[in-house]
Amino acid sequence: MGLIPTRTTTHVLEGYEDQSLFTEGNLRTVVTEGWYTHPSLKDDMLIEREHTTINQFGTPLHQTKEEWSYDRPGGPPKQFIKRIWTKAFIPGINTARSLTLVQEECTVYWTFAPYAPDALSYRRQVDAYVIYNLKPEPHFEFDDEGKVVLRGMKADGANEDQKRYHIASGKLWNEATNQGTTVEKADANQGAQWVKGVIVEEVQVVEENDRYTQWGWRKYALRPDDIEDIGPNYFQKESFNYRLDVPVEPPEISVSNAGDDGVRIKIKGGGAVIKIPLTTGTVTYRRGPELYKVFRKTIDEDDRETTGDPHGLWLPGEAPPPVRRSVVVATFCGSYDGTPDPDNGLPSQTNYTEPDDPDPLPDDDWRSIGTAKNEAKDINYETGRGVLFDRDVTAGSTYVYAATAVLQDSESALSNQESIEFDGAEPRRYRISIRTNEDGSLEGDVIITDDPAAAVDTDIGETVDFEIPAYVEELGDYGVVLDTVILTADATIDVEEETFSVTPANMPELWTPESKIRITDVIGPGAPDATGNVAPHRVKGTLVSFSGTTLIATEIGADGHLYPIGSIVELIDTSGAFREGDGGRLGDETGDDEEATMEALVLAIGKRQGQRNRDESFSIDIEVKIPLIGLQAGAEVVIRDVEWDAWGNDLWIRSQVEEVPWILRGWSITVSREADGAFKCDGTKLTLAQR
Amino acid sequence: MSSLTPLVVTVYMDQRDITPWCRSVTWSQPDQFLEQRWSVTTHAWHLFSTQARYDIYASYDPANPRDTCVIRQGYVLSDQRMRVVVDRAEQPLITINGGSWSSSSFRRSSNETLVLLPCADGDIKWDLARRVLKNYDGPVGGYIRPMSNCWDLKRDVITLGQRACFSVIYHGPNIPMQPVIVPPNLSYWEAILQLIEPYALEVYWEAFFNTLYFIDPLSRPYGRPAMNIPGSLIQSIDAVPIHRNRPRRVIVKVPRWV
Repeated sequence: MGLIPTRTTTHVLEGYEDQSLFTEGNLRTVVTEGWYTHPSLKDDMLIEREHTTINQFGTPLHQTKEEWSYDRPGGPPKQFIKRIWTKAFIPGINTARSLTLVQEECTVYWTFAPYAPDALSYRRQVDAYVIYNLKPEPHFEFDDEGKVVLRGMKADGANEDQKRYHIASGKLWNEATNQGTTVEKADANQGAQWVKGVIVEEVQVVEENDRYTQWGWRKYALRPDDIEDIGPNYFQKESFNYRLDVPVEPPEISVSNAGDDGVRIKIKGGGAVIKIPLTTGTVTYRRGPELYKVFRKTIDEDDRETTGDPHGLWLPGEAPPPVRRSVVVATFCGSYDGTPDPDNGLPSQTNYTEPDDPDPLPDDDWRSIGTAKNEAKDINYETGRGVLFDRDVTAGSTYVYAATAVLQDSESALSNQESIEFDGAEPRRYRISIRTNEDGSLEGDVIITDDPAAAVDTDIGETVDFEIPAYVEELGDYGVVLDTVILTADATIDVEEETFSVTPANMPELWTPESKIRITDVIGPGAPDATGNVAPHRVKGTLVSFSGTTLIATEIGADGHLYPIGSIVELIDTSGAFREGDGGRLGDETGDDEEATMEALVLAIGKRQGQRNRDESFSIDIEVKIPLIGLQAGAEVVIRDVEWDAWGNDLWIRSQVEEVPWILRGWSITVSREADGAFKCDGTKLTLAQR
Repeated sequence: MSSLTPLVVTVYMDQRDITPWCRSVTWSQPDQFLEQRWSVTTHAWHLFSTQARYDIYASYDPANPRDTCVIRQGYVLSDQRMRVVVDRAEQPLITINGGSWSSSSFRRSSNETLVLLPCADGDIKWDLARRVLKNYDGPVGGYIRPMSNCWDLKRDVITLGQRACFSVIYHGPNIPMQPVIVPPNLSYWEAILQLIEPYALEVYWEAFFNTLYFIDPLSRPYGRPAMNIPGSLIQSIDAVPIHRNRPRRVIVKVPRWV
């Protein structure tokens, strides 16, 4: 049972309409495609395609039809048929140049391996017209018979015309047409014959343990000695994961205060316990989780302070003032009887503010604050452990934490819940959480605060998503290594500051304090990381000092691993200066260099989105009475001393425009000829926008 | 004051002075446009060529009438060619609308996929491009053009801007980047906008230097001229608030480095 198209699409490619003297021209090309659509399919399946070229007189010049046969949706193809009709001149066959079937191609596919849809065995046969030159007399020698049979013709039943064929001159109809060897005359000494199997191609697939091998040949009947080999092409098999329904046990957590680093959450245990009954007894197999997810519930939280701003967003002078200016300030509103009376006036918008909500509701939902990697070296045998710092906490507030263990697609129930009152001194303005997704991508999440002067954080606003192909350090080893030394003594990294014995550096002048280093165990087998790939043990740190053969580093992510002799210590360039391949040739303007960490990237975006969109700004059009030539977009414009007085309907309004910088976004100048013949200019229209 | 301000305007068509036939001349840079526009109203429209290049000069000094070139190499907009609008004036007038030369530089080969790669020039860029495109299932054109040395966002923006024939001055945040694929259905300009969209940068084009400026909203404006306009010269003000969506929560996803 074959699939039939359920949806048809037509594309029309317009050619040219000009009449052409020596060719038939190409008015348009029409491609009609028939698709099989089914909700279970990711992509629609192409069933048939018709490709028609129409000449300048509106009649088809060339037509191709392709048909794919399938047994079932999503399966491999069974058969492919392609037919070509054309108006080419074929001697003896198509002398009137009508649309004629000239080539037919059939490919039959089969496979014995249902999970190898890419590696199919097939046989392809092309039947087409072949054009021969004719000898003057029918002449068929004994040797020729063998050749004729090889080239796909019958030698026995050959008629008089066929006996005149000059076998070696045979060419496919399209070869002959393209090479110009067809003589377009009815009495020319040429003939054509429909040859079955003029091209035959056969490819077999062989299954091996880990791969499929495709191997085959292609034969041309017109050139029997010329057999092409196809392949071998190898198709590696993909492995399958079979998922057992094993419950994942939740971990245990403990929380403690960590000063400037917020709250430290330590997670232990969790994972799956698999019992396999065997005849020799039950084997218990324990597997630790790959990740821990940590959640938090806020019991009570003090208001956040403007001063607690670790990322320096609200520094005065760096950014424009946080409160947007209004363009036109109503300085006065008179009463309706015409007498200017400020005391009796209506409240203007600038002096009326809504009072804050005095009692904000506590946020008592579980919120994900991040993921912690299982730091056990071998998650198959060791008890899992992880640690996470929650930096988004306010001093004097109470929080409750819990965690889950994640193993492949399964997540455990919530662990025990631990409550803590944070006693740190540094409250944080930005709530950032970083997650690792299952596909290995990282996701950062930042809540943009309101004006820091405001006491209440409302949760009203849009959520915007960005996908950025930025490089952040957690993602891989990519980075510019400036210099490398090698450990000359084993070192177990279990404290934050560590002294190492190393070989002398090639470029000691680059090993300055505060530069970033990376230590990699290239000897040991490594351990699987969060995504399940085995990666070498590796820690990052900051250089304190480097003297001869002694290196002191701090801020190391202590993993307790023993780094043997021969582990490499790399000096990493994080400044970006060495990445400028042209050495600053483009000028001395540089942007702010952000650190290559996920937190810095999320902050860089959150800060700017918040700054740009925090309050509404104005776009204004003004008319200036003089013509201003030489204006450039982007110029900063300040308007000085604009005041208006206006009276109307007993109401007196006085207004002024604030002197704030505007940005010139556009302008227009018109000059027109007056009655005396001279050009006069009415002035300039400027479009300004507020920063 | 308007009639007192002398402004000498001269219009050239293919370097011939056609000012006497012009009734009014307008030049402008519309808001957010990356090109300048001009229009000339004339009654001798049969003299004007749609194939010609137009230069418009303006000057405050009658002795030096070509002091400032306000439109250089202007052309008649393709959708405005042969357009005739006639009204019942004493003489039939026609308006020719044109643009400045630079808009043609936005064109991009429709068949090319750019891959901006954080690597040095040489064979490695082909290896890297192959690695990147292996995991990519968007539209690709007929051929691939890997661009090396695109280490960070600034270099990405500069590379795309320079391919569109602009100088680029970038004052935004500079972030190390993974490879970026620019499919053939994106113009250079759209690709730049997609790259800088998260950072809410302000963009403007300075016609004289043909330079695109990218300004960080967190920094003070710098690198551009300031201008004071006395209020006595201003005749009217029309202010409209710019309404934007107000983001509260930003989610940033970084794909895995292939």
